Amino acid sequence: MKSWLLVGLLGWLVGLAPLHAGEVRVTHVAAEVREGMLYVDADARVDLFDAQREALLSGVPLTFAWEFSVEQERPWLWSRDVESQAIHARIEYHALSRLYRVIWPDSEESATFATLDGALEALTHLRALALAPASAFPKNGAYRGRTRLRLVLENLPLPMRPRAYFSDRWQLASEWYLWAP
Amino acid sequence: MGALTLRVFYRRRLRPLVPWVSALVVILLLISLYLLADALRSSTRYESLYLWLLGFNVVGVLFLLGVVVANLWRLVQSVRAHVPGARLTTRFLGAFVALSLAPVAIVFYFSLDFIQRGIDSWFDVRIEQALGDALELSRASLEVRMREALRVTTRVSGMMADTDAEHAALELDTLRRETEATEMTLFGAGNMIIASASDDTQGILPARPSEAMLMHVRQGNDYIGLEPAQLDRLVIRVLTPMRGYGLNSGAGSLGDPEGGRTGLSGLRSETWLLQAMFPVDPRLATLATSVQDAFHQYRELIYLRHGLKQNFALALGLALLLSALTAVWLAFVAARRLSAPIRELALGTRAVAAGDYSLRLPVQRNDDLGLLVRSFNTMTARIAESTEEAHRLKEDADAQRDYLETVLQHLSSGVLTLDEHAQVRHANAAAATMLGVSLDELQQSSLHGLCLVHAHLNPLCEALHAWLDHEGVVELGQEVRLFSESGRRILMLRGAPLAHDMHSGEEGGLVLVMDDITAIIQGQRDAAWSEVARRLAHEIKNPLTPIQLSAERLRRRLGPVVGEEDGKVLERATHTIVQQVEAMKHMVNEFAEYARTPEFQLEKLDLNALVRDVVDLYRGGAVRVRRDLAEQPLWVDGDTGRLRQLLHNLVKNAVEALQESGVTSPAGPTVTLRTRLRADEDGVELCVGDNGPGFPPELVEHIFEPYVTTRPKGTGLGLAIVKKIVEEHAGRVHAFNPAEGGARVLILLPAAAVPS
Repeated sequence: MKSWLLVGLLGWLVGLAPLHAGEVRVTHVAAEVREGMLYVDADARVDLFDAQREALLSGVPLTFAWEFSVEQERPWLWSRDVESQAIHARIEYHALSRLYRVIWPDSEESATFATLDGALEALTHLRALALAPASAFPKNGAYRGRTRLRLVLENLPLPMRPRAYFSDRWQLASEWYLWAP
Repeated sequence: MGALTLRVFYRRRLRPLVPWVSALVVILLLISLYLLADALRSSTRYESLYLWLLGFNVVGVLFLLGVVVANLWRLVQSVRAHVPGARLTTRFLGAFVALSLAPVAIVFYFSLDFIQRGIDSWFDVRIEQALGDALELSRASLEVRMREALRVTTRVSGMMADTDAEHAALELDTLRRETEATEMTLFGAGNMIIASASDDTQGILPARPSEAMLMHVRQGNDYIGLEPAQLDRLVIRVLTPMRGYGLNSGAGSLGDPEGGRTGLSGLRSETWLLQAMFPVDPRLATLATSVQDAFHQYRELIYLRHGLKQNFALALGLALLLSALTAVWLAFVAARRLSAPIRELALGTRAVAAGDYSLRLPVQRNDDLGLLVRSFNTMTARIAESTEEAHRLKEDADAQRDYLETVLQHLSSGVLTLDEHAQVRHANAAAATMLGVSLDELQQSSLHGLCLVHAHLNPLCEALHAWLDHEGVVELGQEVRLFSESGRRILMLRGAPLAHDMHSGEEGGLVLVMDDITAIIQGQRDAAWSEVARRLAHEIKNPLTPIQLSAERLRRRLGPVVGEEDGKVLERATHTIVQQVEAMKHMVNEFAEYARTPEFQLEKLDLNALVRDVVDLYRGGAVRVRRDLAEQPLWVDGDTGRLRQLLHNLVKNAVEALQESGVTSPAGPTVTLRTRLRADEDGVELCVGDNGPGFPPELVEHIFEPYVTTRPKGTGLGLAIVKKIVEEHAGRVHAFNPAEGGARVLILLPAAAVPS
């Protein structure tokens, strides 16, 4: 009898929990200087809320932005931005083909995926992003890189924005991930 | 101090700016609302500013709300403090707010309802169904093309089966051209590209399939998919496995877990993937994309329906709040402007009620309220003039009354005004002195009451009653004699009725003017007596000496010649003549003394010391002369010789009267001289009394007149001289018989200042 009660309680608790808890987390960033250029590989994990999935299926594209910045740390002053760059990626649903399409507007590249997870997988793995020439970083300085991935609310359709600005479910942005260039 | 300075700074500098700032905020809010509405109409111009516009609108509305609340708070404070015009402002405000808010609220309600219904009316299940069907139709038509592409690709893979990599590369382009594919690519082990053929000569790399597609095909399935391409094109991607022979590198393909078998020629059998990309007919692609776009747009609209309603409601709500708050604020401004003249009028009325007629209200309007303010100013100016005139008249009347009062108080005649009930209404000091009562008592009493308290005033009351009882007599002129302790007074009364005072409302009464003619009558009498005495002395004294000389000559001539008998008769007769002539000379000298106007030498002297000197002269006589003097010196301005004569006359008169009357009192005949200070009369009192039989009652009134005497040997001039000396010293003398017996002569002399 007790075991049934325990199972029931667990089931109730599981039922209370959201089906898809949204989260964005940068898991890994690696930088490498090759041929005089600083290249960055970045990995992240994105779990969307049902709201975003529903919006995608309703034809609302979602725009994510990879934001990179490299700061020079100064002992007596606040840090100075040496390089900042934002890479945008847009996911949209193609109803005709029932595919998800990831578009990189900056480079005008795109790729299609049969599943949303596949599309998110492609979006969350950046490889060999040329961030800045190595000459921008004098060797005697101390540098710190910061990276985050966020859902760009400003690119949502206007009617959605007021609700998105004040809704926790639409606040999809990772913490800043610090890395050494 | 700091808070006070800040408050003063706010009131003087900041508060006047609030209306202008509010007006600016309203204008900016209107512009902002327009931009917000423009952004909501899917305009891309202000879309990026949407959040800022929303924030600005909210802040602006909050600012206006603060202004309205501050105004409301000030109004409530004013109403509580009963500031003039506050309630009127409240009424104006209520009316304005009701008039403005009601239509705004109605418009808001119907606009919101209209928007909700309007947005809902965009959507129809049949349209959604039709769009879904159209999309499905597009898919169906494309699926035909896709199945054809799969069939073709499968056929190509069959034709290329069991070829090696070198041959495959050669055949692939031929087969691509035959099948009208845009691109054909062979992926070998490790997804390495074995061969690729494309009609795009510019493209370097073929379109690589995703890992999911590869996984799907590696499991032995075909993959076929429709993919969007550039410029709204659609491509069909087909992936199918096939068997080929690659170079034996000694390593198996990662994507081929079963590994391969090695052929005799050294080639290794592998599972390849053939990917073919087929274009969709552009017209079909365009139509299908258009259907898809319409479907997306409709689905998006359905999805955004709720948000759209919220946004429109938000914008409309902001517009409502802006309109309502602006209306309320303008209502405050208008109500204040309307009630300002009335508030000023109320303040002005209060000032007038408080007696300030100098207030002039500023006239800033040309409407009816301005006319009212001008009329108020005219009214206050006239009231001020009238008040000034009344004040001036009152001052004149007061000055006149003071003048009359001063004249009355310094008048030697006594003035009394009586009301119709004979109550004293007004009296001056001279009247009080003449009547022998204090001024306060006189002014608070009725004539009847005065006569009851002061019996000596009865002759006055009788005269007045007789006058009042006599009808038809309008004026009074009568002489009245009053007898009091201070002596006899002869008053000349003149009276007249007073007219009714229309201004003060006082009833008519009487006015009495009294003149003390005692001194005048006495003076006349004294002058007559002096003249009589002088003439008598002159006429009598002249023949006395010849008479005396003749009598002495008769005695001397006839004495020797007549006989002894006749000689005795002659001697007795001439002696009598000479003696009587001496007596007559003495009497004539006294008359001359009475009539004489002496040299008067006034000096400050102590009456007590003088009394002591005189009394000492009478010590040891048959009559005891006693003194009862005041403790303090009694200073008078007087002639020592004359006053000494006065005392001698009185004492001598009393002593002789006692000796002649033969007093049998146990204490023996006694004359008493008593002095005291009479502060009420500002004088010094000397009382000479004896314990004899007193003055004959019939002579008391005339005792001080010449030739009035009770003694056979008296000349009747002693007390007359006393009275003359007293009057020479501006004093009063009065003789009376007290109830305990004896006679009293009371003298009142003016007191002199105490010498320093």
